[in-house]
Parts: sequence; C-alpha cells; structure tokens
Amino acid sequence: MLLYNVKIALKSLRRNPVLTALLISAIALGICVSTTFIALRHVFEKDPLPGRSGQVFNVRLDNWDPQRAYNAEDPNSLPSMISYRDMRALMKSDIPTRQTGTFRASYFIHPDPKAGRPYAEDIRLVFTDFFTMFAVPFQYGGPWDKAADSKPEQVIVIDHATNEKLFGGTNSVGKTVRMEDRNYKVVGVIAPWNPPVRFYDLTQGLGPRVEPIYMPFNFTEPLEIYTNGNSDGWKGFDGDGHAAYINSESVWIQFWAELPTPEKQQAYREFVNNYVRDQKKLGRFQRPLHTEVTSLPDLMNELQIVPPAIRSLSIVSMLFLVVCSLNLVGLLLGKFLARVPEVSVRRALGASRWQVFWQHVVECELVGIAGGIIGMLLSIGMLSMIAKFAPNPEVVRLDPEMVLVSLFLSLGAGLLAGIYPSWRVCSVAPAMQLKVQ
Amino acid sequence: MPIGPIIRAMRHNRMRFALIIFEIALTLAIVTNAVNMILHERGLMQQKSGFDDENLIAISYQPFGAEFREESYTEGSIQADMRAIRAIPGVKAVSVTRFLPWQGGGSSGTWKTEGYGDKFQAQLYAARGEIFPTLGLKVAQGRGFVENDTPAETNVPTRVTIISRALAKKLWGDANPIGRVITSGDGESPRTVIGIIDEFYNPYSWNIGEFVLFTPGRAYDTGGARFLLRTEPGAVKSVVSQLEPRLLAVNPHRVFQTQTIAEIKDRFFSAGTLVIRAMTGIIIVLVFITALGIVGITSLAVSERTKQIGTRRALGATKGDILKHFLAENWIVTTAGLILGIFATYGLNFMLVSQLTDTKMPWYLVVIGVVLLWLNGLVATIPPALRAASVSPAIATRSV
Amino acid sequence: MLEMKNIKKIYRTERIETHALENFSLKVDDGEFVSVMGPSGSGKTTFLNVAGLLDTFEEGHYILDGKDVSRLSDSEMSKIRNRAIGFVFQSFNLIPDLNVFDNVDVPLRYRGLGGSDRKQRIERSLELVGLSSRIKHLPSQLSGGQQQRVAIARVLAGDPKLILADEPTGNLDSLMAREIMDLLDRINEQGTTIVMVTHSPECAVRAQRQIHVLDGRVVDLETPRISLARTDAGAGIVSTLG
Repeated sequence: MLLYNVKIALKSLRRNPVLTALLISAIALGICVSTTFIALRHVFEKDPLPGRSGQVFNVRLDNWDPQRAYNAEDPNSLPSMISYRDMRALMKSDIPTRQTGTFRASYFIHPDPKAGRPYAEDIRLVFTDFFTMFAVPFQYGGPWDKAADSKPEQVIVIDHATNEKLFGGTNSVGKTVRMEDRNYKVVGVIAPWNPPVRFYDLTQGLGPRVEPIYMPFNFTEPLEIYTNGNSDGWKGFDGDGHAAYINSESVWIQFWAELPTPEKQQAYREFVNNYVRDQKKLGRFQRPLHTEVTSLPDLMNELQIVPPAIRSLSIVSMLFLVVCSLNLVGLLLGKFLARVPEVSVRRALGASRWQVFWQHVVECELVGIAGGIIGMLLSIGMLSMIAKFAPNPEVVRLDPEMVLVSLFLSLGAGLLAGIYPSWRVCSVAPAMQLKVQ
Repeated sequence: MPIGPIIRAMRHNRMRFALIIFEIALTLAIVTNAVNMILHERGLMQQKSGFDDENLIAISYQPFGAEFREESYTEGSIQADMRAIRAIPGVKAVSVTRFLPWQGGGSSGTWKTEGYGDKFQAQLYAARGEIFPTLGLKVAQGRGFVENDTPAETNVPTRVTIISRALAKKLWGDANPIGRVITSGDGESPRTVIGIIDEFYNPYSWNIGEFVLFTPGRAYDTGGARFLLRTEPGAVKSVVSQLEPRLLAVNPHRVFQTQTIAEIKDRFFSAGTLVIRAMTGIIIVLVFITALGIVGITSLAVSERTKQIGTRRALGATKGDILKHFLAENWIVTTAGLILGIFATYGLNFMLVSQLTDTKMPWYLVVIGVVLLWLNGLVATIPPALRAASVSPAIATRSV
Repeated sequence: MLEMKNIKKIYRTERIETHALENFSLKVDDGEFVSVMGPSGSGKTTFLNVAGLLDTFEEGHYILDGKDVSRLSDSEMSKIRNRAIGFVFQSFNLIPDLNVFDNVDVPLRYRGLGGSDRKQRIERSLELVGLSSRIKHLPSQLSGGQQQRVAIARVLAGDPKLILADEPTGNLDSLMAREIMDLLDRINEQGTTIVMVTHSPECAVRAQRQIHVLDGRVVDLETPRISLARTDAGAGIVSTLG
C-alpha cells in the first residue's frame, strides 16, 4: 500500500513541476538553515566523553583576596583554576580513581637539523591519568607508567601531526625528541584527535586546539616551567623566581578528578572542604568556605563554552523552519483542494477517508524528504563556510547524528505542513462532487 | 470598508487566516530579535579601541639560543631589534610591550588610591619605547614617559604611571589626576600618575575594558618579547614581509610570530561577524518567504472565491470594491498577526536573553518591525487582489 | 425599459470564434414580465450577461431605461448593476461565508447607503419574502427555496427597476418553484420589470410574453421564419436562417 501511495504521490508531484519545485525548495531552505545552526551548536555542545563525562570533575577553591571576590562584581565567584600548592595537597587523596593537574607551557623542539629549524610548540604538562581520564586515542604506544610520573622520567607523548613532522609518520615509540636541552623518549603517539572544545582546559572558551606534546607534570619544579596559559594572582610572592611562583596564591592549574560513584563524589567533596578548613587554620583561605567540584558537562554549561550567539542562532533557525512549514500549508492546501474532483472519484471508487489522508500525507513526506536531502547538502556547504570563523575549522561539519536529526526535522516539517491540507481533502464528501460533474 | 461583515465572513476560513496570523507573528518575532542581535553585535564591533588598529603589527620572538639567558645580552638585543625595526621603511613607531589590542584579555591587577574608597581593578601593561605614538594615542594631560622613568635595575619597580581618562574619572571624578598615587592592593609599589590618555579600550572578561595603567618598564625577559609597531597607512604588508628577515639578521637563534592587529580584531569578532551575516540572511529570506506565503494563501482564497467575487461584481461591486475587500481582509489578518507577533517577540526575546546578556528588546525595534511587516503584507496582497478584481461579473451566471 | 438593437457578441479563444449573439434585437416595455426560452447553447445566458451589464458586446446598441449603455466603463456598469438591476440566479449565488442579513446587505454596501437605511431595507425585504426569522442563518443552514428567497430579498432591498432572473427555479423542486414564481408575480404586480430566462414551460407561461432564442437570435415562434434541418449524418443542428 505504501508503495502504491508513493507511486501516486510521485505522479501527482510530477504533474505540476513548478509547484513541486517551490514546495521542495521551501523545505530545503528551512532544513538548510535549521540543520546548519543546530549542527553548529551540536559540534560544541556534544558530550566530549560520551557516557563518562558525568564522572569527571573539575575542582575549584576560593583562595582569593579576603577583601574582594575573584570577580569583584560577583561575591560568589571563585577562581577558575587552583594554585600549585593546593594541587599538590589535593593529589594526596586516594578517593578519585584517576586525577591530574594540568597546564600549558611553551617549549622549544629541536628536530634533527636536517629536518628543519627549531620551533616553539605548545606542550601540556599532565599526569599519566590524563590520557585515560580524557580518553585520548593512541595510534602507537600509550601513556607512560606511574613510575614515570613520580620520578619524573624524560618521556613524552606526541600527537599525530608532530609524529608526521618529526618521524614521517612511522611508529616512533622508543625514539627521542630533543626539547630545549634534553632528550625525551616517545612512549606514545596520539591518533588524529581533534575535539571541537579543548574540554580539559576551559579557561579560554572554546580554546585553541589540543596541544601537540605532553610531558610528565613533575618536571614543572625541576625545569622551572611557567604556564603559557592564564595565570591569575592577587597577592605578592614571598621571594623571587619559580619557587616563589609555585608557592604563591596564584592560580594557573586546571585540576581534574574522576569520581565514578555518588559515594566517591560525596566523600571527595568532604575531603576538599576538610582540606580548606585545615588550611584556614594556617591562615590561608580567609574568604568564606567555598569549593566547587563540578562535573565536566556542568562546567561547560556554567562557563558558557558554547557561544551564546550560537545557541540563539539555533533557536531562531528552528523557528525559521516552522515559518517555512507554515508556508507550505498554504501551498499544499491550494494544491490539494484543486484535486477535490479527483479525490471524490477515488472516494466513490471505495477509497476510505484514511486511505485518502495517508495518500496525501505520503505526498507531503516525499516533499519533506526531497527538501530535507537538498537542505542537508546545502547545509554542508554552509557549515564549511562557517567553519572559517571557528578556531578549529575541520570539526565544524555534519556528523551522522546530525544527519539523522536533519532527516527527522524534514519529516516533521513535511508532516506539520501536510497534516491539515490532507485532512481537509480527505473530508470531502464523494457524492457532492460527482453530482456537479 | 465594512469591517463587520468581513470579519464575520472570515470566521469561515479560520484555519487559513490562522496560518497567516501565525506566520506573520513568527516572522515579526524572528525579524525583530534577529535585528536586535545584529545591533548588539554591531555595537560591540563598533566600539573604538582608540588605537590606529589598521596600521598596527605585533611580532613576538622566543629565543632558543643560550646567549639569551644572559639578561645583559637580551637587553642589548632588544635595543638592536628596535633599531632594526625602526630602519624598515614605513615604520612610524615601535615599542616593546605585552599589551596586544583586541586579543580579548591581557593582564590586570587590584589597586588602591587615596580618594577612592574601595580597591579597584584595572589593566596593567609595562611598555618600553614609544608606546603611545605606536598605539596612535596622545597624552592629553601631563607628560609621556621619558627614558629615565624606566629603572635601570630589573627588580626595582617603576614609580610613574599613565592612566586612561575613564579610570581617572572613575577614581577622582573631574579633579586633576596628575600627581595622584596609585598603589597595589596591599598598599605597596606606589606609582604617581604623570599623564592621561583620552581613549583606551581593550575587551576584557571583567568590566574593566576602559581602565588601564601603563608603566614604563621592561616588558620582556629572557624568555622572549613582543614588539608592537605602527606603520604608515597602507605599509602594513610590506613591513610585515621585512620584519622577520631583519630581526633574524640581528640574531637567528629564535622563532617569530607575526600578526597584524587587524587580523587579531577580525578573529576576536569572528563570532559576531558570523551572527550578523547569518541573521541578515535569515531576515531577508524570511521576509521574502512570508510575502510569498501571503501571496500563495491569498491567491488560493481568490481562486476559491471566484464565483463569489463574480456575484459581488454582478451585484454592483466595482473593481475597486473587490480590491478593497481583499486588502481589508489582509489588513485585519496582518494586524492580528502583528499583535500576536508583539507577544511572540518579547517571548522569544526572553528566551534569548536567558542565553545572551544585554540584549533586551528596545520598543522602537518592535515598532519598526510592525510597520515594515505591515507594509510587506500589504504589498504581498496586491497581486492576488488585483487578480480578484479582474474576475468577470459574468461568472455569476455560470453554474459552478 | 430595455431595448437591444442588432447586438453581436463573440467569444474568442485562441483559435475559435464563437458567435454567441448575432443581430440580436429585443424590446421589453416597462412593467412587463418576459420569459426567454431556448435550448442550451442558444445564447440565453449571453443575452442575460449583456442585458445585466455583466459582459460587453462587439456591435449594436443597448438602451436601458432610456439611456444608451452600450459603451460604458467597468465602474459605470457596476453602478448601474448595483442600482437599476436585480439578479436572481439559478444557483442562488449567496455568499456562503455571510449570514442572511449580510448577504442581503451586500449590494446596499456597494451603494454606500447609511446604516439605518440599510437595516430598514434589509428587514423589510426579508419580511416580504417571509424570512425575517432567519436573519442570522448561514446559507448552508437553509433549504434551496429559502436560499432563493434570500436572493430575491437581496434584489428587493435594492429596489431595482429591472429584475433579471436566470432559471430561478432550476435548482428547486416543483413546490418550491411555484412559491418562487408566485413571489416574482407579486413583485411584477408592483411594477418591476422582470426578464426571466428559463427552460421550464410551466414557468415560462407565468410570464406575459415568451421570447424564444435560438443560435443567438430572437425567433418568433408564432410566425416561424426559420426551419430546423437535421443533417443525415446527424452531425448537429445546422441553422438555415434567412
């Protein structure tokens, strides 16, 4: 029956190609706009760690100026990162199944002189838990082991592009890279990895790309590494140099803990609060007790990682689709009512009201699907144009999930547009029209 | 025009008119909110920095040569670099500073001063060389920096500062700011205000975009430095191409990054540009589509009512009467749609404000939107209404 | 009241010219009740369209109420239709979206009459046709006879000199048809000229004079000057008009 419906619908659509083109282009336009902006929003909003992001928690502590909140205009604000010394203390907890402090720095890479000039590169200092906690995909090798964390050993993980650049894409595990004045052994090569949001460091909005090189965090002290990212402070340093910096109240470290169960989360919050209470006894943390242990999705929401304008665009674009559909109602109504004599013949020949109704709904859905497919193709083009505005162009695209959403929207638009005209035409009484003929 | 019978008659085509009403209401809501967002973004983009943005270039270097670890070497090479840059034809002024216009942030601190009760927050940038000529700013009051404002030794803090007019106003109102002393939040490192610059804006996540303290000082260390330079109008391209070679000639053991401020500004506003383009596109298409929708539905109404129109003509209606009838009908529908649309506009605005800040709907936008869509509706009705008016009265005597 | 002289009306489509009226002449006096008869396609409806100023014609003259109305602009024709002529149609032609009151009101609105005048005329004319109690009804809520009475009320409200009726009983059963014919009789007795196109001999005999139309001309059946010849092939009717 469906096949028969489709056949009749196609015939009917072919009868008036201009009108059909108009119908299809209205849907295509609506789908193009709505798909583009919903997909754009989705790119930045989708769960970076599907299924697990709710177990990964960011820790913040209010160690700020007793007389002024972090953001002077909001007394409840607290720093978005923590200090080095607090990180050291928090790392002592064994409640999290995994945990890492992390920050970005800039380092010099000295490739084989034959391969090219030295260059500066963003590196990230992490504990080995970082890789598993944030599901970093490996092409060769893997994370370093715990022993390399504590010692620290001169090991690094490099990304796919760096491996291409330095080693021509071969398995470089075991080879060495010269950075500044030391050699580091490659233990892992990351497979091509390009999350739209640099979700493990949300201090710069959507953030630039993920870093190309990762080295053990514990080099921070011996090599006197300063952050290349944000660093906020409110209090002078005691003394000079790197030692004074890492012992200061300045915040520059993102701290993450994996807490898979509610019990652990509860216990960990307790632990963090107790730590701050202990510190208060030592004269630090003079502001009211305020700690935040925030899950990754909550943090992304709180920090408005997705630009608000993109959310607004997605809402407006959905309404745009609704207007396009409403337009179709008028056109379809005209088309279907012009067909009343034909329908009355079908009714006289025994087609039930429902059959007539479905016949027309099928026709609307064919228009919806055709428009949807064209609209989707157009939105791929639109997205590639929009990508030029993004910090990370290649992630701005239609993923399979969005293709489904888009198809679903086209079916919805077809239904929204078609249901009333179909109902009108199916409620025509057969006899009346035959008499007139 | 008799409105009563028209409205009574319209009740029999409720669905059709409801369609147009919803379409117009949604269109008004979308268009006004889109325009509002465009205006908001444009407002941000039109914020003037006060600088000669178009002719500014930033070039930073990171050294890998061991010689740079000696502070004295770095000091000397910075001077040599500045000389090399000044020698490039088209360069007007150069300075060493960590300040980078339009990067959406920078460095800031918490300060105190006499005469202002609370501590306050302001941006702070150390600069060497001709920072104000480089930015294209004039020291409007007091004096600029001179060479011995910069302490000879690294660890000695500077004693003077030049601040923005907006900050001076905030702190001391209209009183003379020159000679006042600003200290850090805990009362240390006092700096005397020696000059005022009239204009300064650098977007900051906190609300301190216009508040700045410039101090003369070493805005560099052994880890590298950034030069900010200003060119003659139109010389940016040629200067950019010469910068790296000239600086490499001074010392090759380092890597460079060159950006024009225009590029940085474009990047900073890329989301805004996207919003403006997307919204403009949506508005144009939407108004067109709504007009098409009105044409479509009114045409349907006309062809369905051909007989009726013929009868009216037979009963003595002139072409003008028929035209007026359809225009009046449309007027009623459009007006109803626009009234509903005003509610929809504020509803959508409420929804969007919860996503965006600072974009309350100004009433005049709604008024403009209503008037324009009203005209749009009128224009869209004219073609089908003309067709209606040309229906022959002889139709009345034909049986169906 | 109405005088047509040698009127010629041609319908043109891209290829074919149809001579709907050819040398059509007719005179109707004031206060007459004339019926016009003829087979389908004979030109009755075209005559009615021309007489009612619903349509223009190519040649000839049309004098209505002493005034030459042969070459008028569209809005002048509208004005005359509105004031001097009343139409009764076979399919009633009530406006389905309007109730009885508003339907009768339609021509009065176009005449630009004041509210109280209109109300008075509408109520009086509905009373004359016996439908005062149905003012708020929609056409679809009325029987065929009632609908035609509303249409006649619509005519009466305008107080025309000439009523043109096009098969006024064509869509009605005989009982209702008789009612309508009685009504038209009464109106004619008040002095209104009526020209009625009909197939129905029963209706036609109610008129004072019967006119027969064939192939776009008026024929005098009492002294036939034409003959109908059927070709052997039976291809159709061929007129051999002299």
